[in-house]
Amino acid sequence: MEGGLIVKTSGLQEVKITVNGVKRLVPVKSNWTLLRLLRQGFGCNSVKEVCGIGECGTCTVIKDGKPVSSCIELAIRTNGSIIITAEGLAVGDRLHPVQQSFVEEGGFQCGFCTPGMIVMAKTLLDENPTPTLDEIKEYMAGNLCRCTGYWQIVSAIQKASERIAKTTASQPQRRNNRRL
Amino acid sequence: MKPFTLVTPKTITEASSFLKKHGDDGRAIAGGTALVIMMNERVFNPEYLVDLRGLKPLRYVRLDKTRGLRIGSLTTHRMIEQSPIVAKRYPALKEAFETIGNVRIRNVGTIGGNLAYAEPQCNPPTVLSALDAEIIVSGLKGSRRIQAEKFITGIYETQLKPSEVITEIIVPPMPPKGSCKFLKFTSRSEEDKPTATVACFLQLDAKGVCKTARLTIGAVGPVIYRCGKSESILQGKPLSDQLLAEAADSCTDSVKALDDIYGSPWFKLEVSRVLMLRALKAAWKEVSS
Ligand SMILES: Cc1cc2nc3c(=O)[nH]c(=O)nc-3n(C[C@H](O)[C@H](O)[C@H](O)COP(=O)(O)OP(=O)(O)OC[C@H]3O[C@@H](n4cnc5c(N)ncnc54)[C@H](O)[C@@H]3O)c2cc1C
Ligand code: FES
Ligand code: FES
Repeated sequence: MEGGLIVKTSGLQEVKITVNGVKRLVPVKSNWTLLRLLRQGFGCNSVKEVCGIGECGTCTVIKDGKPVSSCIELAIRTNGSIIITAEGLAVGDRLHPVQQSFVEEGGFQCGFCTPGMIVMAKTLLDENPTPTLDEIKEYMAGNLCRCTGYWQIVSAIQKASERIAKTTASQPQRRNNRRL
Repeated sequence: MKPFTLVTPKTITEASSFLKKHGDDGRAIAGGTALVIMMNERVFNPEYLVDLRGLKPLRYVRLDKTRGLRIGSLTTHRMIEQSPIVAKRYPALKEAFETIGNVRIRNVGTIGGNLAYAEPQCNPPTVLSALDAEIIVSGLKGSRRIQAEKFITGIYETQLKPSEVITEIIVPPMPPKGSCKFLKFTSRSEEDKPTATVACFLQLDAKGVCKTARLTIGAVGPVIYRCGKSESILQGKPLSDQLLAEAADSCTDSVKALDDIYGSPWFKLEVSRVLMLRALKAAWKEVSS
């Protein structure tokens, strides 16, 4: 050991991580990405790998409240993190407003980009509950979709924004708790 | 990616001494947005990764009355983009950071990592050079300051020694009657890496004569280029549309453009000239209003 430094060995290493509300201590290898841990360790198959270089957004997850590309996050560096994936948004049978709006507006075709789009849209609305069209486009620009042509995705987000505004208006006690 | 050992230093000195001891086998990691990709592609196979994220005090954007804007090296792009101080006093800096890749990259990537990465297509070095920023690096023998413009020495190459860590970026105070603009052009899509990045800083004196002009061009070649000839065309003279056009026409005189997927040398130089003229006009408009 180096003086004062914590030198972690290169074998399996335990990481404490909360995924969709479940806190676990899981063994990871140093060269695993967060994407691999989520798929193999937690069965979160909504998290998909396409580019592996942070460009396309299919692997988007929410880490400590912020969207990140899990394909370029090292699992070993996520100790203590709180992760939310698309699997963690619905409450029982009740879809999250963003999911419900994607269904109603036809915000997907093949569905491959959809989990990433949905968690990205959720963080957009957490940060900015009433985004303008330009703000939606700017925030979502790093999530690619080869099917829809994007307009249905944009209108799904607009609808979700209205839906969240209505719910918060009718439930004033939840006004400060937008992160449903 | 090859397996490695993660080291989590608590102080800069600890990080430096570990990097020094392990030489090429060790490597600092900040956001990891560049390094993890390079490790995946096996461009780098470090045995030890020295995690800088534990150095929490290095995350800040602060305005110091005499020294100017101080940014900790571990500050994320997104924190800089969303900083009210940056938006108010250094809008060109905001522009450079809010147009980096996508929100996910900006949430994780850091200013120190961007500078140390030294990819020609990076936005921040161009604007930091025009703003005459200094990069503070810390090693075992103490710290030293490097002018932003001279920091990058080649493609993925900088003045950093293996044991040195970037700790802070200092941008001088914005003078009255001073303005800085940053513009970039991407040839395929908005969030793509740029064909060219340009920045200009203009300062007028009380009589409206150009006191200082600092013009920089990035992305077209391996390093950041200062446009010395254009600067001397502008300095000491009252500005006019014709003078700005003349300055823009010679801004690429000392630039060595590379032929790559972002454009041919001819195209990159032409784009730089057009962007520089737009940047100069915008800066002039702002200082003279
Ligand atoms: C999809 C995508 C799009 C992008 N688009 C753009 C763009 O449009 N414009 C742009 O400018 N950039 C762009 N980038 C690059 C991005 O800005 C960099 O990846 C990021 O800034 C690197 O910071 P990091 O903290 O993640 O560095 P890391 O990946 O952690 O490190 C990068 C390098 O810097 C070294 N390092 C890190 N911190 C320090 C330090 N404090 N002291 C010394 N050495 C250090 C590391 O050892 C490593 O060699 C893009 C990246 C991606 C993945
Ligand atoms: S797979 Fe992670 S961004 Fe494309
Ligand atoms: S629905 Fe097919 S990629 Fe978006």
